Amino acid sequence: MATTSPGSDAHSPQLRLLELCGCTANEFWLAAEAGTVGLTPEEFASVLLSIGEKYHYGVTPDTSVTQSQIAAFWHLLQLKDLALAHACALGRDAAWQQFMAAFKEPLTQAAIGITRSATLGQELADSFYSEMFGLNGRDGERRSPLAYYSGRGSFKGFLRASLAQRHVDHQRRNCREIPLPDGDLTAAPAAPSVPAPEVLLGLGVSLKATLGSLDPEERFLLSSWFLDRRTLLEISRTLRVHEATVSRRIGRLTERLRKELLAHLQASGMSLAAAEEALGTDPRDININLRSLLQTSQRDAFQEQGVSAEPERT
Amino acid sequence: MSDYLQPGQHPDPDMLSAFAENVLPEHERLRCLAHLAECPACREVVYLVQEPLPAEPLPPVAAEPVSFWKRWFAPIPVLSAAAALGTLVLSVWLYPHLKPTPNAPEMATIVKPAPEPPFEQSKAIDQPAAESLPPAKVHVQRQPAFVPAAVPPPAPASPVATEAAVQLPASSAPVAAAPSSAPAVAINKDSAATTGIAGTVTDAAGAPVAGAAVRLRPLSSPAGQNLTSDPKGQFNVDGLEPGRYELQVAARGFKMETRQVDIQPNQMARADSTLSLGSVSSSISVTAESAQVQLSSSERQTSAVVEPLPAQRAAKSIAFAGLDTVVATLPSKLPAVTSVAQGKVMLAADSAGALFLSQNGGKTWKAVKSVWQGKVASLVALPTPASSSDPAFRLSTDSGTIWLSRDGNRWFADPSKK
Repeated sequence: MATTSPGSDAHSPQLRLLELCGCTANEFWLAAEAGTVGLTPEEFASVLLSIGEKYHYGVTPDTSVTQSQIAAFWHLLQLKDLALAHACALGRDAAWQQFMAAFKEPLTQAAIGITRSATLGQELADSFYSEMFGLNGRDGERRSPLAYYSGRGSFKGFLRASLAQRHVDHQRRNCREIPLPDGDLTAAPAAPSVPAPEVLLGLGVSLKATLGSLDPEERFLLSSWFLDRRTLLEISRTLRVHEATVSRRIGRLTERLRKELLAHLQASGMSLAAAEEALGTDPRDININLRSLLQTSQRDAFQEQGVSAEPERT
Repeated sequence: MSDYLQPGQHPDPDMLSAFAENVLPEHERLRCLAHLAECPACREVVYLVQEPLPAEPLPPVAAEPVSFWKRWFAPIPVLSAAAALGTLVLSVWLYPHLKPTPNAPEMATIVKPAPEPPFEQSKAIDQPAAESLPPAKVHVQRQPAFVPAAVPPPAPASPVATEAAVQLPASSAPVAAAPSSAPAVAINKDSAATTGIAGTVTDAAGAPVAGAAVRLRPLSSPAGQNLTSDPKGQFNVDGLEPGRYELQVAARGFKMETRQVDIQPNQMARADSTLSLGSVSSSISVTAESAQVQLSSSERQTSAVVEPLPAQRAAKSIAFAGLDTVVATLPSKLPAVTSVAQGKVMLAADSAGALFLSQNGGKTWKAVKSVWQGKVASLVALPTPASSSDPAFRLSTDSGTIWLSRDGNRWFADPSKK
């Protein structure tokens, strides 16, 4: 079994592909029917090599990958969609004809579904077409977002995610310009008794420690349920579990958080009664932002992908 | 470029779609989850990537299965409501009928006399012997004086006058040998149809007396013909032989009226009878149909059905009018077929025609030495004697002789029949 390290490109793409997985580039090229969209075997081999190196063939970066794992990674890709997307990114007319025939209508419907408006949906789809043609070139170089399709998921899902990302970006940009509703805002009633500053400080520290100890999926659950007000169905579809499972997880998670908070507070010198009283503190009195606290963690999770991961956002 | 989605800080659409489709390797999935937990924009993108669920067609509205208990107990409230409504309507409808009026005292609600006349001998002519009868029907009707609503109730009569008419077995009846078609009955089918008698039975107030027993007997013959007045109190019979007849009219609660009527040829004689009030009248009918005991009185009305009794046991259950006394077993061990009472003095004749006397209300009995020939056919308690010399009892034998007695022990022949 050949073991290699990604990044060595001393040979041509076809030879390197053969060296890595033992399969010829022509084999993948035929399976992807890349010739129908105007791609040569060499071009398609380059695409496969770049994707494999980008995602380290589906294994963790600090582990070595075997030839079979590389072959399995490439064989599990959506080869036809991958060839179509990259041929479109390269501006091949045959590919665009196939793309427009197969994805024009679904793309428009997806845009309408995301924006929940036919006008806005059509407008979003049209603007995305211009991006896909690579009109937003940087340094005179044509760049299309289709070139970042990896083939791991469906092409339709990729297009839908791209539309959604642009829609969310557009919405958040326009939210700044929405005026506040007229009328006096009702001030929050003052708490009858504000806890002592040391209590609030201890509570903030305990909250940070407790929320920081949660794993990513638990934090995602809490964020989706309490911050985004997502429904159990939406969360269950995202996590691919049953709604009842989501409900049970949220229930267990909040109970566990309460116990851990009490334990933290008691460990900091509070009695049980004082700890329970501190848990009843109005969150507005605490000098911390629960939203930011819950969403504070590995901000550099995708830093390593660098600019290469999101070059289209310019 | 958005300030929220900085390049390099967010997963690209390819990763988000792959995450949404759950095709990411585990380490990439966890990294994506960690970012999604802290990035509301990417979470929103992930939720927007989800394909909208197709609108599920509404399932057809199927009829809700009805459980066993619902199916069987659901009508109960409806039936209960219907029953309550029916009871209410019935009560409203019956209220004016049951409410006593000032002009209709309580006695006005007494059941009118039954159509059975006191003279039942002719009906009993063809009856077989009592011993050979099937379980006998003992029909006892006890009833006080019938008083129409418009008539004030009479003063209570004392002592009680009792009249009993008993159907006897054919073998012991004096008229048993005379069938209904016999000439002795004085009904000549060949005679003119207009020869007969008609009349109306009324009480002292002029109200018709329905069900009154009318007995028509030619003086030349012991056999007679029994009639019953209709609801209008009228009776009518034709086809009679001209001659002189004895007409007896009796009804419960009234004194029996006896008169003689001359019936002319081709004429309908008119014989209207006005009955005077009596105290208590009763009739005891023994037939072989069923066993039903019906009692009625001014104070109460009782109806009971008893099991069919053998003829020998039937007599034990006979309740005498005004006494409610069950005749004890006679010394002859035979059932009593007729009995009368005057105070505590009781007379009873068994099925063999022997006469027995009880002076203590039926507790003990002793045989009465017969001075007559044949069997006792009927017993009659005569109305209250005006003096001690007047007879109190009258019996007739199967040979047609009439005997009278003052105390029930010593008997003498009816002087009028000599």
